[in-house]
Amino acid sequence: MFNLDQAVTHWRRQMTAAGLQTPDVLNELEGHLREDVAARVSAGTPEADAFQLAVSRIGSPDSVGLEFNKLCSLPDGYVTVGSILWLAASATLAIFLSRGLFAGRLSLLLSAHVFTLTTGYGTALLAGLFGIFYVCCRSFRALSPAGQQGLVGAVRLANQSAMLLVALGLILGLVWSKQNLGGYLVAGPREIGTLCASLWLLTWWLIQRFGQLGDRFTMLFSIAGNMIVGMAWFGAGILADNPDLHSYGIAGVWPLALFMGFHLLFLVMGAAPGPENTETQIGG
Amino acid sequence: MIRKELVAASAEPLILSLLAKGESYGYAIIQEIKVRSRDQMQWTDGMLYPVLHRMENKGWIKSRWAESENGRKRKYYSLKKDGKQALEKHHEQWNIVHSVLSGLRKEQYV
Repeated sequence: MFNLDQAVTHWRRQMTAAGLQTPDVLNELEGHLREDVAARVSAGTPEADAFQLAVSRIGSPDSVGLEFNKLCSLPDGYVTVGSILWLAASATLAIFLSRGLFAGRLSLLLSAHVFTLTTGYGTALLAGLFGIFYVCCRSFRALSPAGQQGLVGAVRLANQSAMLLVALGLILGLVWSKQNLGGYLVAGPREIGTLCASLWLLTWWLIQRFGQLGDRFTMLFSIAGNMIVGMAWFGAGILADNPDLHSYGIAGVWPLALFMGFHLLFLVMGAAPGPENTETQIGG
Repeated sequence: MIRKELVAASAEPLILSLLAKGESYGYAIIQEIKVRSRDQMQWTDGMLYPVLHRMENKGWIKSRWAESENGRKRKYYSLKKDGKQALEKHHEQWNIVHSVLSGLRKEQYV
């Protein structure tokens, strides 16, 4: 004697074994299965046959499991880790600057300028790192469509934040320059570098906001952004009168050249034709 | 029977269009497509749900569990603001494809 509940339980076990572990998804699929069985039974099909037909309409556990696994958000963890590292670095910088502020070595304006500009550059570099991560994942087809969406969303958010922080840092720097050096713009390499980085981030944001920038180009722009920020931050530092100030260990030309070469490599890899994520093939 | 590549490509705009009429659930969506296409569009039932979940991840649609008239729980989907925009984009793109195809067809008979 056919028992529908037992058959459904067995079918759920097969789905679970195929990787469908989420109760919400299983409940939804079970609901669909039961509706289909009920409709077929009311049309005169015996319950056992109706169940078999309904199961075959849903598809094999492996194929359904595979499609749902494509939705898993692989980079969510990486985005979280990156965000936590960013917050930790920003908090450390804030503590470091506040110590200088309270000791009277730094003014509030200068501290705010250094904080916003450094976190802005750091945020832009984080977006570039996500871009490099995307290129690596793309090469190994390790990114689900949902994961890709998450990563692209994180890069867009990072770019917008970086644009606002760098612009604010630039304005604060100009005001500080007016107060301490007698003019808003002294046309030093660091100022020009910051202006270039601001313009780049603004342009990128405008293209995203009003243009049609696909996921891959968003990621490639983020890697190219790292090169611009690298030049604006470290490259300008090399050209400045006091190159050791804010050099962060990248004082010579070679470390910067290596930095550029590393990013260029990933730009080329990302620009090359490669496997793209496939959408769910709903057609039977 | 319509080719499966075309069925796959049209899944999102069709789901968005159906949900633009009001909230619905997986089984009803499949039945409506079946009726409207006069059985010409064969969807693999289980493949609809990953598409719905992906559209939900994109922020186009939202879902809620509710009890149906037969006492069973169903997951209902409805359109969000971003979904309406996505539907507009889909319409624009499909209209372009349709007009190009129609134009070329007309030229064959000139």
